[in-house]
Formats: sequence, C-alpha cells, structure tokens
Amino acid sequence: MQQPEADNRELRRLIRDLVALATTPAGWVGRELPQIVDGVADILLHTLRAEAVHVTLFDRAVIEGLRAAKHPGFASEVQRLRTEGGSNTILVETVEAPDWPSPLRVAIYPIGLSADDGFVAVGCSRPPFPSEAESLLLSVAANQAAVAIQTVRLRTKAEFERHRVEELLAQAPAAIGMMAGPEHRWLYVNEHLVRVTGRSSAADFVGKTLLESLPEIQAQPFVSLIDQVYRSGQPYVGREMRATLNRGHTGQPEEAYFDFVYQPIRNVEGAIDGVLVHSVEVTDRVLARKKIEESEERLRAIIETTPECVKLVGSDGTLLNMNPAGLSMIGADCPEAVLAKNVYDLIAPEDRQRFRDFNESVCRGNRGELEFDIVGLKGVRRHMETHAAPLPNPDGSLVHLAVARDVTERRRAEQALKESEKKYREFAESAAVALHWVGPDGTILWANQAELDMLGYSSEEYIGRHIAEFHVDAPVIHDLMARLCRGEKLREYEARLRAKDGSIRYVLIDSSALFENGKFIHTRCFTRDTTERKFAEQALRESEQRLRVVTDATPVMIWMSGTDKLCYYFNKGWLDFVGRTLEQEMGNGWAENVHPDDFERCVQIYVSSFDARRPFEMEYRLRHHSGQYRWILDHGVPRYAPDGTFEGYVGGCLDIHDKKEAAERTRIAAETVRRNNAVLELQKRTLEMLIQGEPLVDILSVVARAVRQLSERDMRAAIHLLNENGTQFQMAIAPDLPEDYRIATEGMAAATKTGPCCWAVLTREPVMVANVAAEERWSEFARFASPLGIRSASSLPILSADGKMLATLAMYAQEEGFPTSEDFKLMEVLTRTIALAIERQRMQDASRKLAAIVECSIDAIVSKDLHGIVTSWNPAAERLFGYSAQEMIGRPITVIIPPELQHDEARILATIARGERIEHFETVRVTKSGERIDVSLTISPVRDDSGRIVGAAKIARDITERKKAEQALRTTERLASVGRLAATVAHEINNPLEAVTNLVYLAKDRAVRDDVREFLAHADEELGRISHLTKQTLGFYRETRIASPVRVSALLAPLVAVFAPRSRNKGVEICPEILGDPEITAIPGEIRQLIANLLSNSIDAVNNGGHIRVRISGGSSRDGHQTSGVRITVADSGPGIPASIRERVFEPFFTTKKDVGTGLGLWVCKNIVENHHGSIRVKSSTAPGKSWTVISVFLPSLGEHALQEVLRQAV
Amino acid sequence: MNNDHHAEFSSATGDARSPFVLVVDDEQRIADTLAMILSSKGYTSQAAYSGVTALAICGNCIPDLLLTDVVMPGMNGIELAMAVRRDFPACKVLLFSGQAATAEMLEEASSRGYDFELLAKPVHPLELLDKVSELVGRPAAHAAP
Repeated sequence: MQQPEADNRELRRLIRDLVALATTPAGWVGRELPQIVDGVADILLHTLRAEAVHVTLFDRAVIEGLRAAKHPGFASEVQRLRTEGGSNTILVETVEAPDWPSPLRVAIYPIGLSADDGFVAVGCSRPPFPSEAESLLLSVAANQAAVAIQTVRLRTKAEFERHRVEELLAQAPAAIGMMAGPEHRWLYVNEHLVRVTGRSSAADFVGKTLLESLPEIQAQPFVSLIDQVYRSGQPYVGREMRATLNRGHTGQPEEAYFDFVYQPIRNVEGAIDGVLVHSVEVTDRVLARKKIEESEERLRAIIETTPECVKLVGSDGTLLNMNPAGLSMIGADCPEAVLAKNVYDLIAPEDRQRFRDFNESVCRGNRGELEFDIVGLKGVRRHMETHAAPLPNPDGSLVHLAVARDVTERRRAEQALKESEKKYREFAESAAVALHWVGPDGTILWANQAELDMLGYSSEEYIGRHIAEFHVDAPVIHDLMARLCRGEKLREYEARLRAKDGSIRYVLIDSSALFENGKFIHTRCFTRDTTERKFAEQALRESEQRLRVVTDATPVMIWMSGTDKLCYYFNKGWLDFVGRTLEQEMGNGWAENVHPDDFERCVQIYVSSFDARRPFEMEYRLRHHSGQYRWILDHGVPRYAPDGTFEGYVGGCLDIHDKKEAAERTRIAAETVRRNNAVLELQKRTLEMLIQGEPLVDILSVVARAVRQLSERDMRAAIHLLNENGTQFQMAIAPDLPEDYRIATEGMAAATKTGPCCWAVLTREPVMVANVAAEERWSEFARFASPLGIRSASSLPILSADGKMLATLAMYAQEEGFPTSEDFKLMEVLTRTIALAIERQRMQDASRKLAAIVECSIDAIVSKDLHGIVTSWNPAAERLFGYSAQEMIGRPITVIIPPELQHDEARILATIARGERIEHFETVRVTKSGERIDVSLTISPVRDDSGRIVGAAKIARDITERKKAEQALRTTERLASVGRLAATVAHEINNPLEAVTNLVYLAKDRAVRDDVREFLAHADEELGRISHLTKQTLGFYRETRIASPVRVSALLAPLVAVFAPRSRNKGVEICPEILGDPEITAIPGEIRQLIANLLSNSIDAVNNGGHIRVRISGGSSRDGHQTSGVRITVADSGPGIPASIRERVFEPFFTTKKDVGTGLGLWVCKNIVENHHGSIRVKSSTAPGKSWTVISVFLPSLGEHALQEVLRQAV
Repeated sequence: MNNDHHAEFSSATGDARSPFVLVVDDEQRIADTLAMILSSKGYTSQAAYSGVTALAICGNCIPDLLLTDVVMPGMNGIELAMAVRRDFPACKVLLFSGQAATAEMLEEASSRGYDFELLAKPVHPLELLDKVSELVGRPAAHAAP
C-alpha cells in the first residue's frame, strides 16, 4: 500500500501545480514575450523544485529566461543536447559538468505547433526526474508558452495588415469610404472623400451616419441606392451621377457629377454588414456633354410609352400603329411584322366577330370597352381588356384608338379559384377518411362513403338520424356538441361508436363547426377508427404484468414499504448502522438521517420509481451512528403478492463509502489533469484555427462545445457577440442550447437589466445567479430560461486588450448553485481565448474590407516584390494596361515600362528598399496593345509582419488627357517666357544704345578726316538696325496676335487639371464653377495666360485646406455702357492683400512673394485684359480667420473686327 | 524770361536768346552726350543726373524745355515732369524712355490731367533735334557747324 500513497501525494502536488500553471499564465495573454518567458521559468523552477531552468522563445529576436545559479554553462549544455539530439523532439539526458555540484537530469521540451517556436529545458538532480507527472507539467508549460507566443504574433500581424491597406487607401486619388450597418454609419473615409464633399476632416464622417454627415443628399438617390446595395448584395455601379453637395465657398449647394461603385461588404458569415463607396468626380466631363444629353433626354421621354398596349386600328381592321409594349404583348419582334396587316387575324376565333363589330362601332364614333382573347404571333393566348375611343383622321374619317391591358393573369387566378373549390368538394366526397356533417339540432346532414363503410350503415339508415343514436356514451356526444357549438376545435377526441353489427368502434374525432355570420351551420367531423390499436395496447399491458418478477434484495441493510410508500420495516443491519430504533425509522423517520444535499434527489427517485412500479438504484449519504455521513448504495424493487397484487417495495443497502471515496479522489485528480490539458489543447486548437483563418463562428462553436466537456457541472455555454459599439447582441453561438435560445437572444439590446449577460455588459463584471427563479430581479429572465431547463446562470464580460466590450460568455446549468471555482477559472481562461478570436476576426474583417476596396478601385493598384515581380493586379489595372491579372502575376513589372525608361524601375526599387515613398511620379507606361499612356504613380513600400520591406504597392492613374493639356500650356508658357526675356533684354540694351548713338553722332560731327566720318556713318547705320530690333521686341510677349471666338470654360478645364497637382500638394481645392459661358472674341493664348497667372497667385497665397473658386459667368460691364461679355472671378481664402498695397499689385515688378515672384504676373494680366478692352479689379479682406481675395475680370464680347482694331491701336 | 542767373549754369556756347534745354537722365553718359549735342547746335543746355537736381536748377533758371528720362531712382521722370509743369508752366516737357512700362506711367499722369509726349530710347540725335526745334524753335544766333 506504500506505492499508491506516494502516488497520491505526487498527484496532489501535481494538481496544485497544474492549476497554478494553467490559470496564472492565461493572464499573460496580450503581454510582452519577455514577461511570459520569465513567468514560465519561475513557475517551473518552483513547482518542479528544479536546479536549473532555461526557457527560450524564437521570435524576431531570441528571448531567453535562464535560472541556473549553481550550474554555470547550463544554457550551452542544453544547446549541445539540442544540436546532438535534434531540436524538435523531447530530449531527456543525464549531464555532468566539472564545475557543477552534481550531475543533472535534463529534460528539454520543444514549444510551438511545429516545435520551432522555442524550448523549455529543466535540470534536476533528483534521480527519477522527470516522473510521468513532471513530464506532463513540462508539456503543459511548453503548451502555455506556445499559446502565448502565437497570441502575440497574431495580434501584431493583424494590426500590421490593417495598417498597411489603410495607408494605401489614404493616398488613393479617389473618394473612398466604408459604411456599416443598415443606417450606413461611416467606418472609414479617405482624405479625398473629405475634400470632394467639402468637409474639413474625417471626423466629420467616422461614427456618423451617411445622412448625419451629408444631410444635403437626403432627397438625392444615393441613400436609397446604398440601401438597395445593402439589402440585395448586388454592387451598384453609377456613371456620372449628379450630386448636390454643400461644399461651395461658404457651404452653399454645388452641383457635381461622380462615377462610383457601391459594393456590398460581407462579414465572415456571408451576411452583408456594410457598403463600400468608391467614387471619382467627373463634373467637368459631364457638364460639357450635359446640354446635348438634356435635349436627347426629352426626346426619349416622348418615345417612352406606358406598359399598356396602345394601338390604332382602321375601320377595316388594318393595324395602323402600335407601341412597343403592344408589340411585345402580341409577340411581334418588330413593328413590320404586324403593321398594315389585319388585326382581326390576331383575335381568338371565338371573339373575332365580336371584335369586328366593336371595331366598326368605334370607327363610327362610339366609345367602348371590350374583353377578348388574342392569339399572338408566337401562339401565346392572352386575355385583353380594351378601352377604345374614335380618333379623327385629318380627312375627317375615324380610326379606332385602343388602350388595351393584358388581364390574362387575373383571369387565370379567377379560374384557378373556381377549380380549387370544385376539387375540394370532390375530395370530401371521395376521401378515405370518414367524414360527416351534423346540424345544430344533432341531425346528421351528410356523411361520406368512408364513414358509412366504417360503421356498416347505408346512407338512408344514417343520414337524417340523430347523431347521439350512434354514440355509445351519451355524455361524450353531449360534451362534444356543446364544445363545437362554443366554436372550439377538437383534436383527437376519443369516443365510442356503435356499428350496425352491434360492435363497438373506438374512434378519434377531429371536428370543428362551420359558422356563417355567427350562426352555427353544421359540424364537420373527421372520424378515425382506432379500435385495433386500442385492443393491441390492452394486450400489451396485461402481458407486462404477467412478466413482472419479484426479486428479493440481498444486501445487509434492508427496508420495506407499503403501498402508501411509507416504510414499515428496517432490519437489524440498518438500525445498527444509524444507531436508532425501528420506531424512530418508521414512516418517514429514516429520511432524517439522509444527507440534506441528497434528500430531495432520493425522494424524487423513490417516488417516481414507486409510481411507475419500477426498480431503482440510487446512491446517497446516510448518517452513521458515529455522526459521519457515509455513501450508501440503495437498491429497491416492487413487491407483489402471489396473486399479482402490488404490495409495496423492498430495498437493500450497501455501505460503499470507502470504495467511493477512493474512486472519487482518483477521479478528481484525473479529471483536473484532463481538464487542464484539455483547456490548453482547446486554446492551441483555437489558435490553430485562427492561424488557418477559419470562420469565427466555427472557432467559437468549438469553444462553446468544449465547455460542456470541460465543466464540472455539465454546463452549457453561450457566447453572445456584441455589435461594434457594444449596444446590441448580434449573434449567439450556443451549440448546446436549443435553437429557441439563439433566436430569442439575437438582436437583443445589451446593457439592459434583463438577463445575466446584459448585466455583465452593464457592469463589466462577472455576474452569477445561483437560482434564476428565486430572485425578483431575474424574473423576466426566468420566464425565458426556465422552459429551457436553465436553473442557474453566470456570465462573464469579454473585453478586448484595450478594454472594449466584445461579447459575453454565459454558462447555464440545469441545477441550482454557483459555478465551482474550477468552472469559474475555466470561464476566465476561455474569455481570453474568445477575446483574442473576436479581436483577430474584427481586425481581419477590417483588412478584408479594405482589401475589397483595392479590388473594386477605379485606380490601378498593383503590388510587386523587391525584384519587380508582380504579385497582385487589380481589375482596374487590367483595364488600364490591358493585361489580365493572370497574365501579369509572376511577370516582371518592366513589361509595361517603355524600353528607354527601363532604368527607372531600378531607381524605384532602390527607393522602396530604403523604405521611402514615391508620390505622384509622372511617367509613361506601355499597354498590352503597345499604346503609350501617361500615368501618375504613387508607390509605397510593403512590409511583412516583422517590418521588413518585401515589396511595393503602387497606385497608377491614367493622366494622358491631363498631360496633353499640360503640354499645350507648357508650349504657350515657353513662348511667353522667351518673349518676356526678349523684352527684359531689350530694356537693358536701350540705355547703352542711346549713349552709343549719341557718342557716334558727336564723333561724326567732329571728325575731320573723311574716312573716319564714313566709318562713323556706317556705325550709325548699324546702330539704327539694333535700335529697330529692340523696338520690335519691346513690349510683352505675344505668341499669336490672331483673335478668334473663345469660350473661356473650354480653356479653364485643362488649366485646372494642370494646377491640380500643385494645389493638391498644398491641400488646396480648386472648384471651377461655370454659371454661363458666352462666346467672346479674344486671343486664346493670352486668356489662358491670364487665368494661369490668377490661379498661380491664388495657389501661392492660400494655406493648407483652403479653397479657390473659379467662376465663369455671363455678365455686362459695370462702366455704365452695359457691354455684354464674360466675367471670370477667381476667389481664394488666402490671407488677403492689405489695403496699403492693394493699389500697387498691378504694377510691374511689384511682388509680395520675395523668393518666387517676378512681380509681373498681375501686370501681365492687366495688360492682357486691357488689350481685350476689359477690366480687372481686386477686392480683398485681411480680417483674421475670414480673409479672402477676389480678382474679377470682365472681358467684353467684342466683334472680331472691333478687337483687331483695338489691338492695332495698342501696337 | 528771367535769364539773370542763367549764365552761371549755361554752357560756354550759349547766348541770352538761345533756348535753354535741361537734360535729365540717371545715366550720366546719356545726359552729358545729349547736352553736348544740343549745345553744338546752338542751344543752351545743362545736364542733370536726378530729378531733385533738375528741380533745383529749375528754381534758379527756368528752362524752355525739360528733356527727361522716365525710369530713374528717387524722383522719376514723370514726377519731375508733373512738378515742373505745376511750378513752371512755361517750360515744355519731353520724355524719353527705354521701358515699355513707361506707357502705363504716362497714362496715370494723363488720368491726373498731365499729358506728356514720350520718345522711345534709343532716339537718334537728328530725330531728337527735330523734336526739340519743333517745341522751342532753333537757336537764333546759331551758326552752322
């Protein structure tokens, strides 16, 4: 007996250590790895009483925890063992070292799912080390470390992924946003979306609903479109949709046009939980085409017709005209198939004459309505309802104008109804089930053949008689009739009927009465014959009685009870055990010694078995005369007299206390070990599932199911997921609870005071209810829980690492009482696992949603590795470059780079490898068809979860159109600057030229020698040529002096595009606004220069986040002449121009921009405007916080002749 | 005509009846050569290198003609011309300039009621002499060179 005792001690210690290990480190989840390593090392050192411990994790860096005070070089010995024995297997060796006090038994356990996350090494000098229990402890410790390291990694990786995609989207040159839930609450918006809508920051959106953030779109179709996408799951692609946004200079409504995609976002379960918006503004493009479209739109509206058939028929039946709806009704593919043919041929033969008469009547001037059938060209018969009126021809004759409606469906429905009524009647007649009707006075009104067959009467013998005559039991038929008269419906009402042959038929009656207007008409009774079944049941009961065996009980302690359930006999064995007299034990006296915890259960087993006359066996604790409660096995059987009469019960009891105690101890120990390891296995499995990306529901189902196996009290778990803001229970995962539970709890508001989970959300504390029926505050919950067999409940809040309420874990038991401390610990451990799973899921969800944005982005988004090999290629990239994703992935990106720019790629890769970003890099790429396109590239490095750069993500936008506009402008600008240079040089030359001319003149005047005079005369001539030259170039540049008809708006759009990058870099928005655009006669290059100078000045002046509005409108001069023309207004929210210098801004070389200004911009503008006979004005305010500058230019729409005249004068 | 102090400032060749032309240009060489050319044709002429000096000379002896450059540091030619026109209405004014910007300055002067004639640099001496004689006549005692 010595050995088991030792085992027991070992077992107890092991249990204690396991509990310590399994609960404490759970608290490490979410901590840093070094803390975890230290924790594991300390626990191993103490619980194993080891001399040396070495725990190592291989993360990005090696993290070590070493406890080996008396064993120098322990770490290197471990390293040696691992090198020799293999690094991913369990190793146990005895190691001796010269400077160690004693040889050590060293056990090494690898960590991790694939044994490569690290290892745990323990050295101990005790000889049998490691015992089986110690091995178990080591493997548990290794498991714990693996769980912890995976947890940390998962968290880092998920966060990283989300961050990366978010960064990518922030810089995308399209408005991108994501909304969640049916109320469309913004989760995310990028910078561009904020700008396009004229708001100031993402904070104006995130957390708000669509309508809260953009109230102006309430009456616009966007909300219902998004609703539709959210409901249907079908993406919506909008082209050039008009929006009115309050984004103007002072927040006034502004019209804009957008191309956009609304994409549904699905959660893991596949349900739609949000909508993605990806939108690009196309206002310029649309406005240009708008006018043409509008007139076309009106035309189409006229062509559109009603869905009804509209036709014109001549008096002879010729079909003169028919709208598309009509053509489709008669199955004509084109109007030619029927027009000018006789319409009578289409009318069904039986209706043809009627229609002919009707047509002729209408053509005589009558109105009318007619229903008739047509047989279409494809043989389809339709029932038509037509309304006709005469329509006069120009010649005064009348034709038949008809609007006809297809009423086939209505007719079909009417017919179907008639047929079903008929069928019902036939069914009743021929039904195999017996059926009869009884009138209010009890007379049988009707019975079908099945009923007559069942009872053997003819219909004459049965119908017309009183129903009571056929019932065996008069009270039964009276009750039956009375209940039917009250309107009750009867199901399986048992009755006995008398058949014609005198036999009694046992029947079940299903019956209800037919009432009309509250009046009882008759009953409808379905009668089923159950006579055969009835006899079979009786036979069975009798045979069971015969088979019942009387068994004698043999145990030492014996009791007997009578038919009244009371005990009247206890043998000596019993009385000796309890130390009481027979009198004390008689009746229910024996029960006083039963342990209170067991009493109710015992009585219940006894009573229920007794009533059923079943033998029973139960264990309970009975108080021994020493006062100790001892476990008793009680076996009772019913007793019968020789004649089979039941006489009561006899029972025999065995003292099984010692046996049970030993078994219980072993069970608890084994159970604890099993549970703790099972919890760890569960955590490992959960993490494995997480890593493999399995759905959250599956993972949580595994956890919830495990609860039942792991809990001590057979608890059923429910995990209630909360929505993002923690206000509502979204989903319940409760695989071991009835479906009703799930249905009842899903969608419930959280943070109410209804159930334990609600309380847990409200208080953020665990809630425990020992008896749901006992406390008043749980009354509402009890009404719901009790029918499900829930007697006690507890709920723990599940919080994210940053304290956000994610879910609750509820545990229900079918018995009363608080959860055991073991179960509570289990719940605590599980909440951490669940929290991790949910957090990971939410992060992945967010990443996935962002990834979806990439997928449906209008801009090409491509990623490549550091060798320039394409790793992803979105649909927009397919469209832009012509290569499919399949063609490009795996191929070098250089495929789309033109030969002369191949060196660019090396430069780009080098920049990316340094971790730098490339923004708005404008270059040329080649499409699959060989076309060269201008693109703007934004390229950012992509890092793996350890932060290492592994590739690049790039967004490419086609800027070919913009490039062309830019090129045109650059040419203009170059000409202009050449001209400016010439002018400047000329100015500088004029003065010395004047001096030289004068000097030559004086010299010539005074020269004595003729040849000198001649030379000087030549010099004078040459100077004359130079003078002429400078005069020609004096004055500002003009690349062309040809005036032509110009629309200023046409010049504006490309200019805005050209300045867009510059303004974007400053975070400034240019809003062009075309209110009117009369044609003027002007020199296009100069007008372009004018607007360019004004825009350029504004961009320089405005600070980040400012606005520039360029408005083109029709107008007239303000000088009293009322000349009509075009007004160009450039307004900016810059700091304004102080009044002191406002007068001087149009002076040449006057500049406030010391470093960049030439001082010529506005001077040139003024010249241009005046050349065009226009006017330019400046207004400005420098009021702090609301400063502005408006430059207003008016250009009159002079005729070409007048302008040329003006220009000639200017020259 | 007050010519009392004029001799002190006029060049050697001038006599009492020859018209007095004041030439102003911040480029000394231009001012000097023009004064010499005018003197060689019998005009009394004086060179000044800034508007302020020119005004001081006018205070002593009112010229018949002020011939001045426009773009000059300090007081510019138009300001000078306007001051002379205001204070010495009998004095005629002729501007010459090498810069197109002058046109705008002239317009401004014009908007304030002052109209001046402008020659564009470089002006050939013969052209200038024609202009000067048109404004103040030829020197009476001028002997042909």
